[in-house]
Amino acid sequence: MISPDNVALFVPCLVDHFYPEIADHVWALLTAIGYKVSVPKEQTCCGQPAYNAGYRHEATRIARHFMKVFEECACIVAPSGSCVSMVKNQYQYLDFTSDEISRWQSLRSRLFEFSQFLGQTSAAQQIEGSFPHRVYYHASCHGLRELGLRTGPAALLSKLEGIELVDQTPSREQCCGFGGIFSMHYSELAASLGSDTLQYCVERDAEYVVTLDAGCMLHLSGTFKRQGSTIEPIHLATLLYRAMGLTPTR
Amino acid sequence: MMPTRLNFRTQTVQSLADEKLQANLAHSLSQSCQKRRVMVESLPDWEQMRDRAAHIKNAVIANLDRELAAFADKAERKGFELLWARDARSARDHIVDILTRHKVRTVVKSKSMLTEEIELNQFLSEHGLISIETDLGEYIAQISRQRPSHITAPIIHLSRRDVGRIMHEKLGIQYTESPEELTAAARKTLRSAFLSADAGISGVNFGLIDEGSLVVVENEGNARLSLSLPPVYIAVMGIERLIPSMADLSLFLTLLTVSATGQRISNYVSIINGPRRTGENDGPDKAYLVLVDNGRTDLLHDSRYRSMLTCIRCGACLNICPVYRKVGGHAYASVYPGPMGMILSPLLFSREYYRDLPFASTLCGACSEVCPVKIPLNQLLLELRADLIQSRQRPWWEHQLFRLFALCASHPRLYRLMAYLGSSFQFLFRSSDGGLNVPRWSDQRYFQPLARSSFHSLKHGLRRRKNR
Repeated sequence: MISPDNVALFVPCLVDHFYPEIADHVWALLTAIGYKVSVPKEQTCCGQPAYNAGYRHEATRIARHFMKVFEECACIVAPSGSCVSMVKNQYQYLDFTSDEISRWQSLRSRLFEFSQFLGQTSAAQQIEGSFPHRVYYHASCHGLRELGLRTGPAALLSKLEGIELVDQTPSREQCCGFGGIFSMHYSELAASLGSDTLQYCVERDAEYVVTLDAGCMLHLSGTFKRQGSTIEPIHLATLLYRAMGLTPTR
Repeated sequence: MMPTRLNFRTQTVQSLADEKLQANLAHSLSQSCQKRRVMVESLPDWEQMRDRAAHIKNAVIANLDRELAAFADKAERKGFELLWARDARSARDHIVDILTRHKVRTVVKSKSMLTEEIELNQFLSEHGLISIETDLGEYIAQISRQRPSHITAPIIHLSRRDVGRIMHEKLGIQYTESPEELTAAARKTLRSAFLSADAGISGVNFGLIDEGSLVVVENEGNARLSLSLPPVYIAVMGIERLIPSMADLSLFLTLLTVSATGQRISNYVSIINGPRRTGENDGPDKAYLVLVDNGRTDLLHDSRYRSMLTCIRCGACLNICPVYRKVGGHAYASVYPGPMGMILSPLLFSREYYRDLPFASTLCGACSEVCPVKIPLNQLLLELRADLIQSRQRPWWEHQLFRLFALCASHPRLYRLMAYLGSSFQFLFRSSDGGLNVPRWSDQRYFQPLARSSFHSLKHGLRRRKNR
């Protein structure tokens, strides 16, 4: 169980620049369930875009900055399975010194993906609300496979009144096709995978696709919109925020 | 002449445009995954089995020199004549030597990816030898002059209708889509091939170190006929295919067949203990074992990629891979497609030619999750990406882009300034649909514009300062 009342919010770069409202929603929600939220000013990015593209030297540089910014925080929460996994699971492969490795080891145990955090705090029992819509939960890959977030997010959703969750067949634990720079180098392939997700949702009358990552959202909403679909990709935090009827804290 | 680089993007576009291929792949691969999943769910200790297998296989690979010597010694005592091949060429030469020595004219072959790797069939035909693939899928691929598109299901890219058409055209039988009739037609041709062949060639799934025995796993019985009926038998085996003992075989067999086809065990498992001995009725007079390196020792010496040598060639990573499921095996222009191939092709064959492949993955990690010997495939892809960048195998602009990105992301003020500039001047890139024109994105999808004010710029940054 997580005890600290103070939570530092890490706002991943895609959230910051494309979906800043997701950060607002996380903030409002954590505040609503009793946490004091801070946003370290000097934060930027975790380094994943560079790292996944193979640029480790560049990623190391960004990671060092990330550690410097968040080192003093007792508990860090981020609305992204992918970025959290980057810090928790991939920093060990960067060009760190042994001192940096030990600092990282201490840091990684204090970092949580948003739904992971809610799953581990008793305060999450206060989450109540209603969302009378048909919703497909798209298990974002890194959250699912690298952080092991298999049932948690859906469990949070199923607490909401009126929500109808599209049956999650295991075969749909499939990537939406984003994959960072992959979605540009292989745009046709990425779009085709995105279309498959759309088709799955259409066949099941989903109104929303919930994800844990802004990357999936950027790609899915882009695909859906181009194809004229009104199905809305939505971040878990945004959905909970709306369901709880919260208002901005900022 | 071979081009210097496989343009994988072009390959993916071609595959995506092939509607028939898309339908065949979607249908067959979802079935393969489904069968595997059902079987895995029935095995409560699946995860422990994977752990054990990974441990055993990694230990063998770590001492491969010793283990290989021990295995070779036992195999020789069983009566196998051993031949060592450093590369594909020497493997082919050995095989043709043997066949010439025994005055062989016709060879029956059972499915083997290693013989595909060394391009054996082509070489045999150049030497005037007739080589007949006897696995049904391989046979259909052979008569229609196609390469296998999958390591365990060679014609997964074809539909039943395609097979009917091929067999109608090539064998002159009446067109049918009935699997029974098609199999019967192939069986008729193949049966006479088995009976008349002078030699049989097979691959090897496992070599048992303590026994010096070879294990061949199959479903059709064609491999068993190939290795037991003709007077000469040649086994072609990669030097990494060893497991310690017969006691480990059940573990590896289960992992292999469940992962490959969702079967608890395959229809046939042959354990080969050398040529026919005096007093025995069946089996070849001579048994040869060709042990092929072809780049494997280089992998062994690179600790970053060594675990790739534990691969048991089940094909589960292909079946689950979102990219493979869309493009099919031929797009990879290599005998090894899918995630395992994206790693093996550049490492075993050509880093330069296959340099696109490690980047053609979303890093979703599904491959690592299904791998029966727990090869961290997506981790190896990341490693290989970094490796290829070190050797400057990527476009120059990409590196500059990430340099700039790293500079900004390690200087918060600069980072916020860039974000400010981005959101202020993005109107220059507006497209007619209200999104942004982003190369290699907006041709396929709408690109969401940057938020007018980023979270941080509102909270701490430039815009707030301006408001003060």
